[in-house]
Formats: sequence, structure tokens, C-alpha cells
Amino acid sequence: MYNKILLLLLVVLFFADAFGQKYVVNGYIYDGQTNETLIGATVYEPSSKSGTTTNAYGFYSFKTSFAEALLEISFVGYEKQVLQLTLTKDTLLNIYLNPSTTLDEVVIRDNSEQQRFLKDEIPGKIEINPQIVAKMPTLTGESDLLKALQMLPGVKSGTEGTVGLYVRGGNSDQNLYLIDGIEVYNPNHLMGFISAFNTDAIKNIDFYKGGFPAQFGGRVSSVMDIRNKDGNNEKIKGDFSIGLISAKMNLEGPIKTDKTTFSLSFRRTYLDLLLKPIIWYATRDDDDKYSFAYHFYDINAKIKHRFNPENSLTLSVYSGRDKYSFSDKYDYEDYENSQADVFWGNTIVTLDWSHKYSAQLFGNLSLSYNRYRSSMGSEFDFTGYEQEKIKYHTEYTFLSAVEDIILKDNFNYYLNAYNSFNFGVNYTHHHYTPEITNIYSTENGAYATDPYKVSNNKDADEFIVYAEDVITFNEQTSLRAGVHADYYNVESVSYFSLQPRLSFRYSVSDNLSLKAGYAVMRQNIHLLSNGLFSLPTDLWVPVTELIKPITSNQVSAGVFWQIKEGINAGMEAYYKKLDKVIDYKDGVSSFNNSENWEQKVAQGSGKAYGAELSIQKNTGRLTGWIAYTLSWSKRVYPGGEINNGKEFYDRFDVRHQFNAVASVRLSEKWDVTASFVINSGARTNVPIASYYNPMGYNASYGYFSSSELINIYGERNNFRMPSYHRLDLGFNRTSKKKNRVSIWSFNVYNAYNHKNAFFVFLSDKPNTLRAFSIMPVIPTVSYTRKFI
Amino acid sequence: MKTLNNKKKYIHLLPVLVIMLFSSCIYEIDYDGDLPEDRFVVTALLEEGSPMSFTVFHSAVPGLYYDYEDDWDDDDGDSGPHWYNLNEYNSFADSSYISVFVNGELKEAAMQTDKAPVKFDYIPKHGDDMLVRIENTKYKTVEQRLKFDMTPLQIDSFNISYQIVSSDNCFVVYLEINDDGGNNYYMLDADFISPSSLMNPKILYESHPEVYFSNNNGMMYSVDDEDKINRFCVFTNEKFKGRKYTLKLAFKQDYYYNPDNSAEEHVFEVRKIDANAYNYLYSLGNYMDAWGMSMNPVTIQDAFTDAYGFISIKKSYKKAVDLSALISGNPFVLH
Repeated sequence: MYNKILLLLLVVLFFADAFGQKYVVNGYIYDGQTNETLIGATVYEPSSKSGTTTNAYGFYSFKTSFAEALLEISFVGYEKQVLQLTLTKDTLLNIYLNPSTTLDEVVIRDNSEQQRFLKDEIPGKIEINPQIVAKMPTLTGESDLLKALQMLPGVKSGTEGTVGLYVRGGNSDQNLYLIDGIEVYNPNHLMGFISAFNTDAIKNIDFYKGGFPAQFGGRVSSVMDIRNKDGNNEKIKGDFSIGLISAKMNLEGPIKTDKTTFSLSFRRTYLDLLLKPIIWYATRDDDDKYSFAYHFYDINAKIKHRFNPENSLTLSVYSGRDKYSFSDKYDYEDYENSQADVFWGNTIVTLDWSHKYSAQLFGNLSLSYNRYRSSMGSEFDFTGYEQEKIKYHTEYTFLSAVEDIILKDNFNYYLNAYNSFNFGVNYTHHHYTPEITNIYSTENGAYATDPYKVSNNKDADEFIVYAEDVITFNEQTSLRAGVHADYYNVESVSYFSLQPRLSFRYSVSDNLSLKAGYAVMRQNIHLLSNGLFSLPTDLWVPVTELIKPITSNQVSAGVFWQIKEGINAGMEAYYKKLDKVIDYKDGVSSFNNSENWEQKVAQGSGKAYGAELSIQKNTGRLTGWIAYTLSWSKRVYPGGEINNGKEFYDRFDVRHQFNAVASVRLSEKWDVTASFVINSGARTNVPIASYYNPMGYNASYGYFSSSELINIYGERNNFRMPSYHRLDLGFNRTSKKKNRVSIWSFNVYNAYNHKNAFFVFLSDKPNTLRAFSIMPVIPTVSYTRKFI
Repeated sequence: MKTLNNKKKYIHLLPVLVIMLFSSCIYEIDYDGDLPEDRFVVTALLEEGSPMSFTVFHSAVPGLYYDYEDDWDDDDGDSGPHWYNLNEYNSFADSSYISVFVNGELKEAAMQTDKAPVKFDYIPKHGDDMLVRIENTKYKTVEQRLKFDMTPLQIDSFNISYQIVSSDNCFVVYLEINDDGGNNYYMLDADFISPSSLMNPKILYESHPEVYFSNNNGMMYSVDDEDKINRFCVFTNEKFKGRKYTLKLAFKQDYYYNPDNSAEEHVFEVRKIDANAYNYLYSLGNYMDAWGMSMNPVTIQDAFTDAYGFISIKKSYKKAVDLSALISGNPFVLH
């Protein structure tokens, strides 16, 4: 069987290369002002109605059969170039596109986006414009990529205000977040209320929720591929902004023109600095002196050196950290002092060498170090003065970490205008430290109790090989077929999987395409999380002999229609099957440590299906989209540990969801962006009946020896909370002067102050629940100054 | 130590709580959608050769049950009731009519009144095909068919002594169960050991490990055996099917527990129960022992579709214990 498939592929390749194509045009496509490479720019040959797009390094390779070739080069927000070439041999052609100057930056007049919308085979792929993300109003006034993603069809938000993504019935730990190709384990700041991605540093975002390309793996529900800026190659420029809770600055420019560039983005909250004087003032006369402080920061830095047109080397660093500290000192009759510090965050360092082996073969080799780490430490001292002098001391330390060393070698081979290959090998050494905990107490220097210690470490090795062929059979039909092979070994346990990936496109007409995709994805780690907030006690644990990897099988198909220039509509249906998903057993607290975690969770299966409809408008003064999702998401744990083995609806089984985002350019100075969401409420557990425990009744004496009220829940997630809806508004005032741009941004979160249920609990009245709402109307303001 | 651990770990929740306090509000929503009607609640273990007794309760819609802020003497014109829905006094399903049919024939029927157990004169016999029906105009009728054909409980050895174990005065029970190979469920009970001691024995020996505490999900009590509990002392034969299971347990003597002193003799009982009783007690135990934040609730497994609880059969092995004789001598120290 496999031999036949191989033979068929060879035949296809032979014929695909035998169309008489002879000259290869290749090179990089740059921003004409900054010399930043452009990802996803389109090279299109009208006469053959074929084309290609630039890869993640801005490289393209296109084989034409014409000596007199006419090529159209386009990219969103840039002026289209039409090049008439006379070719006698393979040609290196670097292309510089100028940003559109007459139009607003979000307005599109080229057709590259339409081309990709209609011609890209992958049905579940969404390209996101970072500039639109930057304009969208948010809770904290801080532009937020993940909150923008929550407005897309098929993507649901979790706990109100947080950035958790639940994609097509998946869980929030089933999303792969990549910065320049390397995974970010913790995509959150501030307990999940702000994402870890600074939008100012981002050049390109591709989001996949189905039909995954073969190069991606490791998560089962979605992939977000973020590429950061390389840096301006023309001149040093920068900007800074100050918001309600944070400030940030960006600086980029050439170190050596046309050779070396740098890009640096830094962001930090200053809640701690604001709170310090307030707390001091509030406690100035108290014997009890306490303080707490919180801040986070993140840094994105990159240095890129181009040795020659064939070789470049990039060193990129991402580091983000949250810190929370608390202290309480009391010194009057007794002395008490307690201190706690909590840190958590990611650090990623990548050295990437990209090399053009030939006009048709491009590769990149990277070595990365990736670390997610959370740690806590607390101390408590007590000295009794009045009684006997007792000195009591207790200390607690906690550490959880994942450390990876990653070696990746990826290739793109452009056989011809109709056929290209993506293939590569990856090796990752994982070092997991789910938990190291030490607790001890002393009384007058001697141990008061036995020290409590937990320490566990695990090493794992992961090998990945992938290959993918992107074939354009003719103008109407194209196919992307690949396989992702994953071998994962942790201690004495090994898992191997072959994950087929398939995407297909058939263009019914110039403005209507049908697409279908099938993908198997595998996930070898699990996040032990409380499910409400992102906390430093969330632990990544690898699979074990008992707890197997999660697998998803997803099939999706859709209709993609360009209604008119600049207006697209898409309708997509999907069915996803999840196998070996985990959840905490009934009655087990998810706020817990890693000890015996295998006994606390159950493995089962899930299924999610639904349909997504979206209409986007990309041109004119008004841009934005509306989206509607109809979906179902269910789980079953046949072992009976959850819901007695019966199927139940997932917590984020949100039946209906409607999103609308609109951005209007009111004048040269003013623009306004509004986003609105309304969806069915998430599910939760609420008692449906109560009774007094009959086992506590002593019939001999006629009384309840233990009068405990038993609450009956029926089944897990039995109650759907009230519908959720919210309107956010953002107003931006931009003023441009000679060398600088000033932007005042005014955001209103939850503009009409709707009380959305955060959680519900029993009321003191029959047939009534109480809903707890945490996010009222919240206005924010921020100021940005750019130096151009 | 465990408590300290958890307290310290929750310290990171403080900022979340601060954010919530700054911006929270509470409002009421109706909750009358698909609530089930009030139902019977009954738990009964019947045995051939023993008198039958039932006490029937009822459920109610959820809610809190006493309005502390509403004064009896206030002027709101509301003279009560100030108790909502359910409490331990009104949870009895009085006026319920209980009928017992044996081999298709009505043997006896009685009504529950004044919260008193309904006792029957008919003594079940081996081989009886019994139907128990409970009726009340307020609740859906519940029926349970019982076949009194449970295979005998075979105890090869049984001994109770009074010993000091880890500095505690304990009743030490040595037990050998010879399992017949079916899908069997067992239960222990004793009327002279306090409920808290019964649920938390120390295992001195177990021929098949992790049987007695197999219903402990590693929830609150997971650090060591000292903290493990088996609230209703139930376990299955999954790990010793068709084999002998030996168990030696030490139950702490609770000096504050005062069993019925009028009885000269007390009883330690080993029971064989059916799946309905085991599933209910197992899940109820998990429900009652579940503890912690962000916890999904335990679903209790009832034997009925339209009622809560179970009516099941059992086979008992009873060991009479002369409590005063047992503890009169000094307990010997167990090494």
C-alpha cells in the first residue's frame, strides 16, 4: 500500500515538474521603508495564473516558463508592484514594497489577502493583522492579541476578562503558542488577564484551528504562529506608550546598514509603584505594617545579521516574568513577620541560521533554549514577648519548571510554480520539574514538625520528522498533503505517532472556493490547572505509562466567497474527536500539587462539532468582521470517575456565539473601534435538589446524629449560566508632526455595564441563584508617542 | 503540615481576590428551569430472617433553609414560615404508604407517621421475590424489586481484641473473608465504635493492598494511611475475587463516644451488600469527603430513577462483643 502511494507521488512530481518551466526567480520581499522582510507576500504570474508566497523569512522562489515574465507582487497595506522581467537564467530578485501612503494602514487595495483567502488550501487558517489587534479596545487598555483572537469564529473565551482560548471544543492547554517557531508555555500575565505577547514587537500572526500544516505538532486544538520584527534596516526609530497599568517602549534600527539590525520591545506594569505610597499612607499609624506589590515585564529582543544574500543569523530573546510579593510585619506585644514572593514566567533564547542552499531550496537551522518556571517562597516568624519567649519560624518554597533544548532544521523546496515541499527534523530534550516543595517549621531552633518535601523531575526526548507537499494541480485545484511523525520518550515510556495532514482546495470560480482539511494532532504534556485563572501553581506534566497522550482527529470543510472586492465571507463546518483528554475526577480539588496527580485525573474522550460563519470587510473607512458560531462540545469518561461514566457537556460548550468588530476612520485624527460579543453562557455545576443525609439518621433514637445536607447535581456541568454579552469601545486620536506621531487611546470595557455572571451560587431564596459579576464598565486611557 | 502547605499555596490568590473585591457585584437570577420535582429519599438494607424497617425522607429544591435576618416579630406581616423548604424536622416524608409484596402477593402495608420508622411484622425468607413500593401523593412512586438469594457470607476467622496501637487504645479486628468469586461488595459496622473512628481505622495488615481504602480518591486525605478514610466501611472484591482476603484493622477507642450502655453486648457486623447499596455508599462517601477549591462535585449514584438512595439486601456476620469484658483488662501493647 505504502509503495503504491510512494509511486503515485513520484509520478505526480514527475509530471508536475515536466510542465516546461525553466527559470527560477527567487529572493526576499522587503518593506521598502524599513527593509523588514515581509511574511506571506504574494508573487503572482497572471499569464500562468500561478503564484507563491514568502515564507517566514520573507523568501520566495517561483519557477516560470516564460522568458518574458510578468509578475505581480503584493502584500496587505503595501502598494502592488508589477514587474516585467526578461529572463535568461535563474534570477535573484529582491523586491521592496512601499507601504501605501494614501490610505489608512488597515485599508487594503492589493489583492494578496483575497488571493490567500481564496487560494490557500488550509480551511482553518486565519491571518491576523497586528495593526488591527493594536486598535481593538481591551480591559486594561493594553492591546492584546489573545483577546483579539477570542473575537474570531470557533474561539471562545474562558473566565471573564482572561485570555484563555477554547478553540473548537478544546481546552485552554491545547493551544500551541509559538514565538519565532518556539513554544511559549505560559502565554499569560496577571493571572491570565493580559497575554504575554507584546503586540508592538509582532510582525506577523497566523492562527490555525484546523487543517494544520505538517510542521506543527504538540497541541491538539490550535496553533498560533507569531513572528517578531527583525528591526528597521534604514534608521533607528522607536516609540513609547504609557497606559493605565503599564508602560512600554520599542526601539529598532540598523547596527550596520544592510547587514545588522536590532529590535527591542520592553513592557512593564507599574501597579507596584502606584500602590506603594497608598499602602504606606494607609498603614502609617498602624502597628501592623503590610505591603503587597505586583508587576510583570516582558522583553522581546532580536539581532539579525545578514552575511550575504544566502545567509543570515538571528539571535532572539523573549523573557517575561510576573512577580507578586507580600509582607506583613507586626511588632507590638508580640513580633510577627511574614513574607511571600511569587515569580513565574518564560525565557526563550533562539539562535537561528537561515540559508539559501539554491534558488529553490531554503532552510533554517535553529538552536533554542526554552524555560518556563514558577517559584514561590514564604517565611513566617513569630516571637512571643509576653509569655515565655518562643521563637517560631516556618518556611515554604515551591518550584515548578519546564526546560527545553530544541534543535530544528526546516526546509522549503520550491520544485516549480505548482509544487513545493516543506520538510524538517526537530529534536527536543525536555526537562520537567513538576514540583519541588519544601516546608519546615522550627520552634526555638528545633524542628516543630517533620519537614515536608516533594521533589520530582523527569527527562524526556522528542524526535519529530515532517514532510509536506503543496501541489497546485491547476488553477482550480490544489492539495497540501503531509505527515508529522512524533516519537516521545519519557523515562521508560515511549509513544510514537504518525499524524497525517491533508488540506484541499477547489475553486468553483474566481471568487468562490471550497476547502476541506483533515488533521491528526498529538499532545504529550498536560497542564494541571484550576481552570479559572492562570496561576503559578499550574503545572505542566508529561505523559506517563498510565496517562497517555491526547490525540485529536479533526475534519473540516468550508465555502469561501469573495462577495466583492474587500468583502469576504466564509462558512466552515468541523467535527473534532478528542481521545485521552484528562480532567479532575469528581470531588477532587484542582487547586492542588503534583503529588499523586495520576490518581486525581481521569482520561476520557470528547467530541466537538459545529459551524462557523464570518463576513469580513477589509477596505474602506469601515473595516471589521462579524462572526457567528454554532457549536457543541461533549466529554465522556468511560471509567466512571467523572459523571458516573455518562456523557456530559463540556464547561465551555457554548451553543451560540456572535462577534462583531468594526473600526471606523472618522477623520485624519480620529478613529473608533468597537467590538461586541454575545454568546450562550458557559456551563457550571449547580445543585438541582437537596436532602438530609439519611445515613445520618438514627432510627433507634429518632434523630439525626449527623445532619448533613446533601446537594444533588444530577450531572457535571448541569447548569448553563445566563447569556454573556459585552460591548467594548476604543477611541484613538492620532496627531502627526514632523518626526513624531502622538496617539491618545481611550478605551471603555463593557461600555453599557452589563453584569455578566462570573460564577453562580445558591441564593437564600428557593428557585433563585446568585450571580457574581466582576467586570463592570472600566474606562482606560493610554498615550503613545512614536518617533519616525 | 498538609494544612500549612495548602494555606501557603493559596497566597497567590490574594491579587485575584483583591481584583474581585474592587470590582464585584452580586445579583439574583431565576433558577426554576429544569429542577426535578421533590422526590423520596430512602436507604434500607434488608436481610432474610431479620425484621424490616423503613424511614422515608424527601428531597427539596435547593436553597438555604433559614432566614436569620427575618425576625419572627417584625412588622412585615409575614408571620412565617421562616424556615425554607427543608430542615431536619420537615425532611421526613410522613403519610407515605409502604407496601411489601412477596412473590406477587401483598404481604403487608403501613404508613409512616410522626417521623417514626415503619416496621413490618413479615420476616423475609430465603428465596423471596419481594417488591417494595412507596407511595405518596406528593412524590413519584418508587418501587424496588429484591431477590433474597444472596450467596452466604463466608468468614473463616474473626477476632476482636483491645490493644494499644501507636499509643492509642484501639479495638483491633482480625478478619478473614473467603470470597466466592462473584461480584461481591462488603461493609463493616459496629455499634460500639464511634462513626469517626469507624471511618478512619489504621490498617495493620491487608493481604491484598489498597482494597480497603480503594474508594479514597487521593483527595484531602492522601498523604499517608493515617489520614485515609473509608466513610461507610465499604469495599469490593475486585482484587481478591474467589480468594481469601485478610484484614487487620485498629479502630481508636473514642472516650467521648457513649454507645448504648444499657446493652450488655454489642455487635461488630461484617456485611455482604449488593451493588446498589455499594454504589450509593461509595459515591456518598466520596461526596462527603470531597474537599478543596475549584472542585467538581461528586455525583451520587442512586439505585432509583425517580428517587434518591437505595433499598437493598445484605447478608450479615455478627460478632457479639461484651464491651465491658473486653476493655476491663489492661490492653496489651501491639508491636
